[in-house]
Amino acid sequence: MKSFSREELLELAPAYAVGATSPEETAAMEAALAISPELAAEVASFREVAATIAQQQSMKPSPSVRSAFLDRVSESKNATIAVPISAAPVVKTPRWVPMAVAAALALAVGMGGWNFKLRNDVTSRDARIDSLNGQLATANASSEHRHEQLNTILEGEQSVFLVHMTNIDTTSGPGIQFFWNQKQHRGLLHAFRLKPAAPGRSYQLWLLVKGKPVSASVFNSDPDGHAIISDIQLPPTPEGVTDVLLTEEPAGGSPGPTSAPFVGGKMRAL
Amino acid sequence: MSLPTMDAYVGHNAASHLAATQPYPLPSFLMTESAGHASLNDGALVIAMAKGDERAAASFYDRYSPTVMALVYRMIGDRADAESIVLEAFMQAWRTAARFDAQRGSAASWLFTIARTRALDFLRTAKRQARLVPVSVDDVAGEILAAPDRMGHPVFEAEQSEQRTAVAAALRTLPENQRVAIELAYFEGLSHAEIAERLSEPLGTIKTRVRLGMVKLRDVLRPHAEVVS
Repeated sequence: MKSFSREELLELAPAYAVGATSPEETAAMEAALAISPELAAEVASFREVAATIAQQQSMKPSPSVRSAFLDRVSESKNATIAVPISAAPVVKTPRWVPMAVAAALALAVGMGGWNFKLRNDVTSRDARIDSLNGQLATANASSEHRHEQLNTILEGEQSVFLVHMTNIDTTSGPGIQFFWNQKQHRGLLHAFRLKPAAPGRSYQLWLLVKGKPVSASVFNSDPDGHAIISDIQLPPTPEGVTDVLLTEEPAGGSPGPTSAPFVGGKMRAL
Repeated sequence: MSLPTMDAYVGHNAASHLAATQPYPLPSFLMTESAGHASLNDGALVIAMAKGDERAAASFYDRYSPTVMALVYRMIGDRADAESIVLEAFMQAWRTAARFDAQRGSAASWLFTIARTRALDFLRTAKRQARLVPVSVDDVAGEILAAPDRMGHPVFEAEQSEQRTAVAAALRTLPENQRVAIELAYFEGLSHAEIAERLSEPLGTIKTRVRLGMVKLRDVLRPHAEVVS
């Protein structure tokens, strides 16, 4: 294993910042960065240069990317797990980790005088990677569930009905988007600013079919006011359904509405 | 139990709020960024994101998504794939905001590193070579350079525009062979050895070109970078 002098590592800083170093050089840099503020400052300055290279041009992503990002940000605040840095399906120990240990030993022989705590860092990092792998598996399962929810909306082709359900207070009051996938006879409800029902109570979704209420779902919202209820089983056709309404009922729902609807909307094709 | 009429249910100003023409209430995440967040510098935005501030995340996205998108698109060459990577990059930034270390570099360089790494991972996983959008800084693809719909703070917008101009000018000061070597490393993820093989040049020559080119860029851009940050 080649050992690198201080001067050689400083010379490699520009290449390291743009990712041009070999695995051996990268390992040596990683080992040295952990213990050398001088090298870290040099690399940081060249990382800024690399960042400016990235800023040559501008290109607008589709608006749906922003919506998806902020939607996931909001959802992630309710998550109970931390998602790891890497989204790779399997996180393997990087090849440079064992190489970094060897590089650190070479540095100690060649340099003498620098403090070597890299072994402890590597051991700690391996344990961390194992923990993150478990969390990633859980996150992947959550992502798949989310995918299924989106399919309710996206795979209805031209037979998806959207109902915007609002309250008198349209600014700060609760709102609901209700998607009716006629092709699949199922619906998805997305509620926001909907405070959880009182203890012993729940929300009930009603379809007004030819003037008569038909129960569609019983649910409650999360503490932050959000709710996503998927796979709501619906009648084969929305024909005759004029309104979608929400009431607060006893926990578990009621055969018929016992209170006035406070959120509602008209059926219309998407 | 039959349902009374809607008027009877909802009170005096009955069905008006249930009309299909009722303005649809925007969820909070669709609101444009507040003047307060738009005026925060990058570091303050990341700190706010680390505390779970969704509006800070929106501001951060609005500020840098066009740049990240252009970077990733240049590397990937496919808009749909690029947008997926842009989304994942910003999600990673959101999730790891608490670990951002200003000592290691700016928030922008941190974000671009995340995006670039994800783009390279994508290319390696798909075992594809990036279709290079023309390397020359003078060659602007038709889709690129569209201005974002949501504008951040005017001061930052102007600074970013000025930054792009400065970067283009700085790259033009480099000898062609140095610029090409740096851009092959950055946009295609090639190592010194791979660049040397691609260009049929000695390894030592490529190492020298990358180092000298980056040093010169740092010297040319340093005064401008100090103003922006």
